[in-house]
Amino acid sequence: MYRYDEFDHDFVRQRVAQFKDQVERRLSGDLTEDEFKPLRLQNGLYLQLHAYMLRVAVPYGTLSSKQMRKLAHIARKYDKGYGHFTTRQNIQYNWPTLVDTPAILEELAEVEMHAIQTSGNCIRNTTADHFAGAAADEIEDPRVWCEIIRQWSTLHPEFAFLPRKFKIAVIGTKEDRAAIQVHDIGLALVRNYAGETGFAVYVGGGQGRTPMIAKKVRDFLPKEHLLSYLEAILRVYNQFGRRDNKYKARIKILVHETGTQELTDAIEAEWEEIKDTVFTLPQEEVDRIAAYFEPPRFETRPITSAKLQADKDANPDFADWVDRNVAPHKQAGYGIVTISLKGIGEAPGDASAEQMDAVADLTERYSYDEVRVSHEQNLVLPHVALDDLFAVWNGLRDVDLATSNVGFVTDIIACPGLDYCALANARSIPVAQNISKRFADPDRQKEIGPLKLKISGCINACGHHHVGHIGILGVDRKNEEFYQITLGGSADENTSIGKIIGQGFSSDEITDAVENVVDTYIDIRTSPDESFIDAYRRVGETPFKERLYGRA
Amino acid sequence: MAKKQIYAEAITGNRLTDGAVVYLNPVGGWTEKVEEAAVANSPDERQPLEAKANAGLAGQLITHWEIAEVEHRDGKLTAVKNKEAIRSRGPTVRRDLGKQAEIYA
Repeated sequence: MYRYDEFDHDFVRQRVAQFKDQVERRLSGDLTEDEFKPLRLQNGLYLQLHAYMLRVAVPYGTLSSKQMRKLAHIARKYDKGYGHFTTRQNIQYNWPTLVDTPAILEELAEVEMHAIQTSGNCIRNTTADHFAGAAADEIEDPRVWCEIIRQWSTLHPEFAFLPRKFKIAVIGTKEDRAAIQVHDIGLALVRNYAGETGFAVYVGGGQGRTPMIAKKVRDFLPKEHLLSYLEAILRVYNQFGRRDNKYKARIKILVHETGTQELTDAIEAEWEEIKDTVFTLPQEEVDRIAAYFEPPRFETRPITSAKLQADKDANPDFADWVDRNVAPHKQAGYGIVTISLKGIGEAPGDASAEQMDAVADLTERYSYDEVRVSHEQNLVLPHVALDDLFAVWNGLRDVDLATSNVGFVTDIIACPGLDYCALANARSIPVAQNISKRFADPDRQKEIGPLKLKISGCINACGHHHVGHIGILGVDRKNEEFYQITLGGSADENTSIGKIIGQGFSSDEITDAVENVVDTYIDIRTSPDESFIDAYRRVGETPFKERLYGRA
Repeated sequence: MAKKQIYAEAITGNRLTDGAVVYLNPVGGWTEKVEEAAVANSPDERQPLEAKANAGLAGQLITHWEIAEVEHRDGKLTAVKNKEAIRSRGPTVRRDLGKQAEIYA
């Protein structure tokens, strides 16, 4: 894992001291709210529906046990005993006070964490595949490049006031687990014909009120040119991105209005000017950062584990959990454990301080001191020996974190919605909870198979509803909550935007409507091997519409 | 059912120090309970309340203020809009949190 050097420590400490002074000046009245608001937002502090909300950055979703324990401690000492893991691989606290925030930031700095650039029109936390460094089919660990991007983008003076926020994601596998095609910039590590690794570059994806899939602007970018190319894209966006209309200010609109080819030409022209200047990455610096992400010193183990098989044979619930929540690891004898934060009837992404502490203990003991946050609002222990899976499962069961539902219909992404968010129009969490309870039966979930359901409480789409196989968007109609269903979205390597299927459903009707959609899929699929998204792509919306509305 | 009032507004904001939802009360202070809010039943009645709210801003007590529609329901003052109702009580999915906590305790 990346470790702060002296520069990083000083930088973050100075930033905390600066914010502490800003808070004091706000409290004394030396700063007005209008003056203070952009300053607090630059430090991740929002004002939400009930209280302030602090969003803490988890760079590329990677944490140590010490950091996770600190997050638990903050939840306990300064908040109300829990935190909410987000689709940007960050964590949010819903109830911090303004007075306490400098102390919270001081505590975070002790474990090399901060809340810088978790808000505002700047480059936000760069996200990565949550299986990075562990995935069996990985070309290269994308987090090395995320860290380089982090160092380049943090307080980048030219990009502190972009037309709008800017999100970058990086993957190192063909399978896209980081939704790169709905990011402002998506980067995929690829190999060219000469066997060299570089990046395929996608620009202009995004969700919100105008969902768009990113356009590929480059098939292969040599790695040493990553920063010059990003700099070129950001310069073009900063210069030409619209500032007259907040809703048209994201780079996706610029790509759409300018045209992919013309914009690509502008990026390439800018790049030509700067590609061989100070932005060229020195190999020794890349190597220095890459060293932090060296794989752990794995033990030599057989590919299969007799102990695991015996544990599975003796415990059917454990066997189900292994089948569902454990993915193949690049190292023989190890697996990648996804810890579902989607217990049946629970709020997606929420974890109590006790649960965070328990995960920290398991991280330290069984996963080479690494834990990840996924954009699907789960946690991941990336490096667990197959022999240890039973112990991990038991540890998770002790704190109600052993739900076997990863990738199933109850593994729902949901934004905080109107229960917490000042922008929301409708609640998301209770809808997720009701659907989760409706599909609670593990056998039924298994029968349905992989299905991604995503819920947003407003058109800003923080719950990624546009790219859910089933998406749900909450709207307010004359002070009543209604929910629109979209079908056919996907955020993987075959990204698609879901289509609105028809008029919305009331909060009393939405669970039944989702069940009707799922039942329709069961009826029309050619075999249990045909997944929901494949069946939808084969037949289209008609049978679903007929079932929901009695007409096509 | 109690009869709804036609025009009733309260002034609400967030307390500067902790962000808590507060309502302007009849004596110019800020209360956490919507039931204790000062109510304007006409635009004329709103003006003096706005002056008091501005004093709260000037005194660094609140972050901002805005108008909230309210109504008397079953003899109790409550927020009209869903969002304000949730804001005045706490998250519907965690009855142990927010102002509703004491009601559900």
